[in-house]
Amino acid sequence: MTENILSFHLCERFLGVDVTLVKEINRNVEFTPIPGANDHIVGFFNMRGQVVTLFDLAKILNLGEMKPQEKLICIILKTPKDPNQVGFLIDSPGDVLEIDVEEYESTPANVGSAESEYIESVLKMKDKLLLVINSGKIFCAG
Amino acid sequence: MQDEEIIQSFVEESKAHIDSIENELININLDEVDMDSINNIFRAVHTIKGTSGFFNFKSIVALSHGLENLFGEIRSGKTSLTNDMVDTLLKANDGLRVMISDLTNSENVEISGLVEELSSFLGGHSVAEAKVAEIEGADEATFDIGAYLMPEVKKQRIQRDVRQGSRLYLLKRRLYRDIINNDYTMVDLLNEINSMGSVINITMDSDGLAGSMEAQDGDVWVEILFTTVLERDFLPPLLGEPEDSIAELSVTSEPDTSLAQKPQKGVPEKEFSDTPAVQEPDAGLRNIPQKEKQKGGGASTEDSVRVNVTLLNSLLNLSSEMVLARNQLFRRMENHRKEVPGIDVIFQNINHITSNLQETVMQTRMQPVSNVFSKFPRIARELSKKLGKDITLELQGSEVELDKSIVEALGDPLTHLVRNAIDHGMESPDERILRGKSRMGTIKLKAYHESGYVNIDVIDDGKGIDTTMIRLRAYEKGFIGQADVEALGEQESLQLLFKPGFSTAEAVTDLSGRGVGMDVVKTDIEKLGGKIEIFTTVEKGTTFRLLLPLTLAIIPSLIVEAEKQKFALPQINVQEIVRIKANDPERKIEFVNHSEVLRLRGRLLPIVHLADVLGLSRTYVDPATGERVPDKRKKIIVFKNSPEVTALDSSDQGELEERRGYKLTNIVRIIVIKIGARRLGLSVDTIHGSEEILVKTLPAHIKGCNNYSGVTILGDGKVAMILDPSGIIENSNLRYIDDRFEANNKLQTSEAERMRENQSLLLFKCSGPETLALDMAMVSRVEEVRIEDIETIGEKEYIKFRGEPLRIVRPEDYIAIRKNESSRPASGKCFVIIPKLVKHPMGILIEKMHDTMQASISLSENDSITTKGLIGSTILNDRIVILLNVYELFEMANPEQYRIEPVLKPIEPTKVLLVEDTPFFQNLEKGYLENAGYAVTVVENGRVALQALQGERFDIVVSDIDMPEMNGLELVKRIRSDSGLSGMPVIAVTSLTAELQKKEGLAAGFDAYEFKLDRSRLLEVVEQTFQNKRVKR
Repeated sequence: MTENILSFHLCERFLGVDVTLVKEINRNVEFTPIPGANDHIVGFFNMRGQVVTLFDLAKILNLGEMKPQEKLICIILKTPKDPNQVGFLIDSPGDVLEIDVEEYESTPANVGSAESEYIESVLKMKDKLLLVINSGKIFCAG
Repeated sequence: MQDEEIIQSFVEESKAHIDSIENELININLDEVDMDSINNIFRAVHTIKGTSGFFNFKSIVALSHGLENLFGEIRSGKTSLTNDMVDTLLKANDGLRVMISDLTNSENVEISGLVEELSSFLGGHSVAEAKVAEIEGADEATFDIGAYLMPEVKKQRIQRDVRQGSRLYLLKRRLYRDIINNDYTMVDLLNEINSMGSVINITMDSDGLAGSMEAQDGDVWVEILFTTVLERDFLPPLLGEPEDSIAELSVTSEPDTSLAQKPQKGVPEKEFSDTPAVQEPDAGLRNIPQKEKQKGGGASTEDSVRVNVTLLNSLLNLSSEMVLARNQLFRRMENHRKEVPGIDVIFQNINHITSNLQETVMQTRMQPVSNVFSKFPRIARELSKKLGKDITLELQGSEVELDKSIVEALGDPLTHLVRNAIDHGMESPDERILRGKSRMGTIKLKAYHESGYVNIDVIDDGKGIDTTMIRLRAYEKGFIGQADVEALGEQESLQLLFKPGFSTAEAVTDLSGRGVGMDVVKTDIEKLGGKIEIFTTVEKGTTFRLLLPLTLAIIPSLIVEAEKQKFALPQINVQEIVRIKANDPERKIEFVNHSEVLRLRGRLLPIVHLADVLGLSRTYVDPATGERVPDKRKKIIVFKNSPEVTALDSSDQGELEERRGYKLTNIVRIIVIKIGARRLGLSVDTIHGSEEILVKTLPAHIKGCNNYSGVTILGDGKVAMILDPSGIIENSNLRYIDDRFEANNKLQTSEAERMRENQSLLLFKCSGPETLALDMAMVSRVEEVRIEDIETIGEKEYIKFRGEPLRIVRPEDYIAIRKNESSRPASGKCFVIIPKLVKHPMGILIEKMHDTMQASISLSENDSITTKGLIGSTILNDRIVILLNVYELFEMANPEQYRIEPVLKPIEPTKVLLVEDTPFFQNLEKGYLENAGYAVTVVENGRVALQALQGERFDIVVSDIDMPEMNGLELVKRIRSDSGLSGMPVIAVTSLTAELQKKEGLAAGFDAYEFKLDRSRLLEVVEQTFQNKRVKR
């Protein structure tokens, strides 16, 4: 059995998210910051009349600061039951990779607690590791 | 998943059924039972029973079964409907509602009592009936159904039933295996069938018994022929029988039938059942609620579909987004329009369609208030019954539409008000008759549009609210002080009802319980952006008026900007916007320690900057480098002459520089917001104007941000936060005096503030350096004259004014101010003030006009500058200003005409109580009166006046109208209602002289109503009134 993973780059890391959970990738995002909100929330963004909460994945995963970009790119996730739309900023999107479920490996024991909680599995690619994020845990109203 | 959806639709459907049952029941006329409504109820109950049976909700089945049994009997005329029965039926219906709303717990609901109650109405009928049927069936054991060889009687019965929309069914079961062995009796089965239709015939087939030897006990085939209005699909679950055991029979084989329509499988039953209802729509109309129901209800069943709310909301979103996209498209295409022929028409079309689409979608959220009104007939019925009162409930304007969310939220507050009205507002029938009212009380629920709001009135013609009792109660509770018990006006007293904890259980008896939980009602209504008002007349009744916005989803709001970010501030909380110019001496921001405050109409208003509250760092553009630099200054306004001349960024700054070429000054705009008694000045960088915004709920991920109440998408497509004023007040670290204390003081302070009379002054100077002032109210006009035009006749100087000689006086000639003869120019310009309200006009010659100014004047105490011709002195803008007393000046200048003869020279002078809050007028009026020989006592408001009147004897009261704590109108009402004081002459002197106010004043009980600055008139009136009253006495 295989799964499709949408890969993306963030803070020089190679990350991935289950493509079936992705609604769309939005380039050229203009968001409104929310003064006083939690650190890991970047702001709100208007996606065709729907207000999307944008998260700072880099901060959540403890990857450091995102490098400033001219045009912001974000991935917006599907939230079939939740009326709250969520998305997160990325540096750049990668390919959709077809991955054999057998290849998944759980997060290594020496990964910090925050990361291991939010990283679902690790994939050994040829030259690098792909970290598949657990979007359910990251974006469950928190 | 599938099941859940089906159950959900079952719940919705059942709720609709339950509502319709309730409606029918309430509107039933016991004397003339409308069979159509009975049929309607029966069908509704049946459907519920059928479907709940399908899902195996046993309790629901049991209860609906009980209901259905009873209706079965009523339908067949075996039992007639009684009032008690209706109550029980309603109760049972409620039971169903409870269970259906909470399906998972439906099995735990105790219903046996209800079921018993229901079956008690059945009496022995059903059992007896069934027995008869059984015997009947046994007698005709050989009857062959297939051949329809039935006695004529039965054929007629079938025909009659079929004509009424029933269908004919045949149920075939084995007596032992299917019935008796299942702990079931024939009687049960027949009862069950009878409960939904009628059994026509029963046959037992003994062939089976003989033929099937392998059956252990042997068995008998039972065939039951029955009719019912229900469709075949419902029957198996209802009867708990397998599907193949029931067959629908066609009645075509009836040769002599007169049936026009022959029911067959698949023909919708609806056609039959609905026809009668449509044919005679007026049959059951007796009162308004039913009329309403027919109007609205008819439409809702036929022309509407159920749509998920989230679907509607996303439709709303999309349509507003479409408007936005249209605007963007238009903007982009603006320059290319001419290039494509015919595109203009298309644009126009799109424009219209989009707007229409949005409007229409908005309308889908609108719901008639009948949705909440409809439950009140029931409440009124039950409560009035319980309390032994006779009450009719009238509904008006049920068709008025409001946003869905508002309609939904109205239920509780309205129920509260209606309950209160019935419980406490209405007298018992006997009491009503005793008071000469009709036995039956009326409560009216009235919805109507008024000035952009929807008003809902709850009107009762009961005993009204006694405000004195409220005050006493409030005093006991410690909400108001002793003084207030006397002092509070009617509206203020009524407002006490809304105090949390004002009424308790014991208040129900003390105060007839008005206001039980009224605070909750008020909060609920205010949450919706509405207001609540009370009007009451003792003995006549009370009206509670709710003012509600049409929709919650769209609110008017100010778009403000702080640190380059736009925010929406709901306008409902905005009191005013204050624009402060640098160097404006009247409005400036001052400091209390490091906090900024603004003097606004005599009160200090705390000022906070929006950026500070939200935690945005304030920046400004460095004029030298053009970069944004953190702004470390605390001050938000810089004065030109201040040493600290840093520019503050804001577009105001830019705007100012462009428009006036000014530099280093700026304008600050302060939005005064108010929540309850709390006020706050919010300073923002820019105000972009007001916009109607579509409110979206704050996404759940934003927690602990009480600065915001929601989000919206602005015209430019950007998301903006909607500010929550109460959150902002909380986060501004403002410590308001605690609410209790504040509540006590609120009335007084806010009123005092409002009442403090701002006087408009004309500042001028004569030849000396002193600044003199005159109340603008006394100035008729100011003429510019040339000094050459002044003619001297004898000692006196005159000018020509409107063709007549007008004497002019120089104040410095008469009053103790500096005279500068030498500098009196022989030519040039000067000004003449022509005062009004004087008998023999003279002009006041002045050299220069300084300014006019609005100020509330407090005369300096221990005033050393008191001399004839002056009222006193005050400080304005750090300058001593001398207030001129025109009358005394004129008196000095022209003693013959202006001398006031002391009116009375009695042994004991006439005692005048002067009620006046403004020190300026206190002095002025006191002066007039004392000069005329009266003994004057001055008090500052109505409340103190009342106290003074209690303690001391006065001959006449002269009172201002607008005063804090207790105004003149209230005072005169109190005086008139006090037996000891009612004859007291009371004169109103006021600066409000509009006719309407005068009328109001005279109506309130004043003997005369005069303008306070007209001295001679005032004295005349005082004298006259006093004499009149004395004569009367």
